[in-house]
Amino acid sequence: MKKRFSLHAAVAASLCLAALPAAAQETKPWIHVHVTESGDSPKNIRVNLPLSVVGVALEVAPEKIVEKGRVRLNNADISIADMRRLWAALRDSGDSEFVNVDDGGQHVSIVREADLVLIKVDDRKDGKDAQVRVEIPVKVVDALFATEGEEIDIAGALDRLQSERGEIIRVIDGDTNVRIWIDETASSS
Amino acid sequence: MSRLQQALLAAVAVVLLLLASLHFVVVRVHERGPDGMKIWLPLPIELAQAALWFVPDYEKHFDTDTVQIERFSPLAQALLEALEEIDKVELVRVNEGDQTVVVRKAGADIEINVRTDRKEVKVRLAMRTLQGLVDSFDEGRFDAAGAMSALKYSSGLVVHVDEPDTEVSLTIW
Repeated sequence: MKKRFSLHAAVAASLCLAALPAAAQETKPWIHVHVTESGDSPKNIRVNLPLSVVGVALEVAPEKIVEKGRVRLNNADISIADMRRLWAALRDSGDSEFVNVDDGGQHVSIVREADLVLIKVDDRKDGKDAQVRVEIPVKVVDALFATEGEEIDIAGALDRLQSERGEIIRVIDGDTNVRIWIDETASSS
Repeated sequence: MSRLQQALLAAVAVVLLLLASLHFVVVRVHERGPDGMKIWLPLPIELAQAALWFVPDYEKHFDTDTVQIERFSPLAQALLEALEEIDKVELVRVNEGDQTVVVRKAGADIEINVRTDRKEVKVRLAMRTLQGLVDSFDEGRFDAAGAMSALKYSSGLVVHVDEPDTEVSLTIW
C-alpha cells in the first residue's frame, strides 16, 4: 500500500515538473512602437503594449474608422480591390519587383524579398528629399487582404501577428523614423 | 482610577481604534510665498461612503458620457488583465520639447509622470484601485461609492502636482 502511494506521488510529481517548463514557456507577444523625429522640435515616442490589448483597442475604435476590425479606405489613389487582385497575382511569384515607377524626381518600388514586402519611395521632386521605407511580412499582407471590397482586415492581420516575431514595419520618412516590432519582452530598448 | 476616568479612557481607546481602522484621503495644498494659502484636509473614506447612504440613489449613480466610457472600459479592462502578471514595464514614453510623459507599471501600481520645465505631475494608483474604478462604470453609469471604495487599495502619495506657485498632493493612508 505504502509502495503504491509513493509510486502515485512520484507520477504526480513528475507530471507537475513536466508541466512547469510548458507554463514558463507560455509567453505573450508584446508590440513595440518607436517613433523618432529629428529636426527643430524633435519628438520621441515609445509605446510597449501586449498585442492582445491592441486587438481590444481596435474593437473600441470609432466605427467611422474601424468596423468589425476592418478599415475602409475610400481616398486611396489605387482601390483596395485592385491592390488585392495585384497581390493575389504576385504573391506566389517569389522574389520579384512588383512595381517600379519613376516619375521625374519621384521613384516608387515595391519588391518582395523572401518573406518581406519592401516598399521604397524616394521623393526628390520640387526640392524635397523624402525617403520612405516600409517592410511588411508577407503573412501580414495576406491577412490584410483577406476580406473583400474596399476594406483591409486589420483584425485579421493582428491575428497573424500573434505568431510573428521581429520587426514588422519600419518607416524612414525624412526626419521621422518609425519602427514597429513584436517580441516576448515587455520592455523595449 | 475612578470609574469616570476608566470610561473616558475606554472611549478614547475606542475612538483611536476606530480612527486607526479608517482610510484617510489627505489633501494638501501649499501655495508658495509669504501669503500663500496652506490647506491640510484629512477625509475619512469610510465616512464619505457612509455619507453616501443618505444621498438619493439617483444622485450617487450619475450618468456619464456613456458612449465614451462604454467604449474605453473594455480596453482598460484588457490592459489591466494583461499587465497583471508583469512586474515592471514602461508602457509609454513621450518626449516632446521640454515635456516628458511616462506611463509605467511598477509592482502593483500604475505610475503616470508628466514633467515640463515648470511643472511636474505624478500619479501613482494601485492596479486594484484602477480595477475598482473600471468596475464603477456599469452600463454607462458611474458608481461613486464603488469608486470611493476602490481608493482604499492605494496607499501613500497618489497624486502630486508641483508648480512654481503651488504644490498639491493627495495621500491615502
